Amino acid sequence: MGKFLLPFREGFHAVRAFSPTSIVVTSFAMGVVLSVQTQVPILLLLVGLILLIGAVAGTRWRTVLSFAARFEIVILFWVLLLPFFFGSTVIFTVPLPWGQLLAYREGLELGILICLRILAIVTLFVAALSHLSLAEFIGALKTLRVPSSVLGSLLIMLRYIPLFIEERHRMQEAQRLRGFAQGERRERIQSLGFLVGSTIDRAMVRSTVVYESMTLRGLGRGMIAVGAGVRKNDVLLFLGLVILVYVLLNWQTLAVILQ
Amino acid sequence: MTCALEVNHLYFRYKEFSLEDVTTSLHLNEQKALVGLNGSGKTTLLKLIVGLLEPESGSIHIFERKVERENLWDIRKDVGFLFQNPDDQLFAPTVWEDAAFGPRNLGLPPDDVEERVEWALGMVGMSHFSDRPVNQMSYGEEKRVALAGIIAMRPKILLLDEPFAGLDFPMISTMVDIVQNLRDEGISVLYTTHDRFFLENWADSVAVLHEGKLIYDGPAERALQDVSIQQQIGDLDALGRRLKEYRGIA
Repeated sequence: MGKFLLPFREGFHAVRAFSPTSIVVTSFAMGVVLSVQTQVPILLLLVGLILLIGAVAGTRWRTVLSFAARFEIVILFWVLLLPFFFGSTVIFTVPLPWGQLLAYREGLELGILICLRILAIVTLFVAALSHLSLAEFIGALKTLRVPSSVLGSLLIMLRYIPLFIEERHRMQEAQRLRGFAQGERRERIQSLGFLVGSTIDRAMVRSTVVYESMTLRGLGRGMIAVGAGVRKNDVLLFLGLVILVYVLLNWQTLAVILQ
Repeated sequence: MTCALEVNHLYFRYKEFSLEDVTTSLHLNEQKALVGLNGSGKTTLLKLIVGLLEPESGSIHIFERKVERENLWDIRKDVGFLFQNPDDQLFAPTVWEDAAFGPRNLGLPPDDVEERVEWALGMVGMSHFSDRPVNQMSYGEEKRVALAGIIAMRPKILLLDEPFAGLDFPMISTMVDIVQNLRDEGISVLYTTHDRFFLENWADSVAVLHEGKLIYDGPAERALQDVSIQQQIGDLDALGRRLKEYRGIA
């Protein structure tokens, strides 16, 4: 059975202190705070804070971190390539047949900073979503006045992309059972081409049928979800965020003064 | 008898496939089987009835209203279409949300939506699944939830595309009871099948399609006596005899 694309908490109703809308808004605001940080120690501190709050809130860190780890290629891309493209202080050279490749300190530092930002933001959002069910997430977006057309597309994407992945996986298994690994390299490449083609073709057919079935039940004529509302306790969440931003601002001001 | 659905001299063509001069009807509270081999045009005919496809010529009337582009939504309020594969239909995060999709689009107030959803889920015996994500159910449960999403709109006609395909015996038995309960509420049912059992035991009348042409439209008993129609339905007795021969029993 297929899973949704993101690690949502299963089920629908939940008894918790904060509303889904406030969790989504706070995560977004915190994401903005993380994205403007320019100092590695502060970023590390914030990542630590996220992990700590998550631990208190009972975040499924194994699921969240394994999902966040899927972004490792993007993260490594920055760390590995930026030192060779940006900066002026050479830290090491790599001799190549056509010359020397220089790695710069500034590029490495920028790469690490960007990596930490990506890692922190991805972990934050995935951790937040892991506390919501898909229904609550959609409800929160509805409360935030996200248009129904966007919500509909989002729902279809979250529901059906895993189905397409599952179908591709089944086709791959069927290929393996018929000796895919035994074939010549050319045949294997050709088979992979067929696999991609079939997956796209099936996805197109499935999308058409899904659209048809939604049309029959009046797609575009009414609400796609009910809003999630807000709770009194949400004030605490926003208050916490405001305090954090205040501390960060003052911290940076202090650092400037000390320099 | 009052007609719920009338199909008159319907022509439709797509690439190599065509439906030719199909004329049939479904009476109020009638249960009709649409029978034919794979590719005979059963699903195409159902899609034409709900306006997902447009005919080349001919007409379809639902409760004496012609199916036209302008009144499709009014027609679709009266006709529910259950797709063969429930995965094609269930898209909302939870069972409850999926069943509520249609009633909300009807513009009903929240209390009425809730009442309809409770009723529909109750009809298909899935009330206790209302909070369950749609991706965490068996095929049979998905099929029942998909049906709940349709009947929550309170249609007067149900089109069921292979309602029993892929279901195990207990689930078939449940589906039969569900549809019977719906019929008791006055719903007319047109279902496709290529299973002789559901033609023989479940249909008030039968329409047989062969390569896009309607070759029979009438009572189920007479259809089963006609040799040419038997070929479309399949002769299970002959198949049984052949199997016994292979095993050396005969």
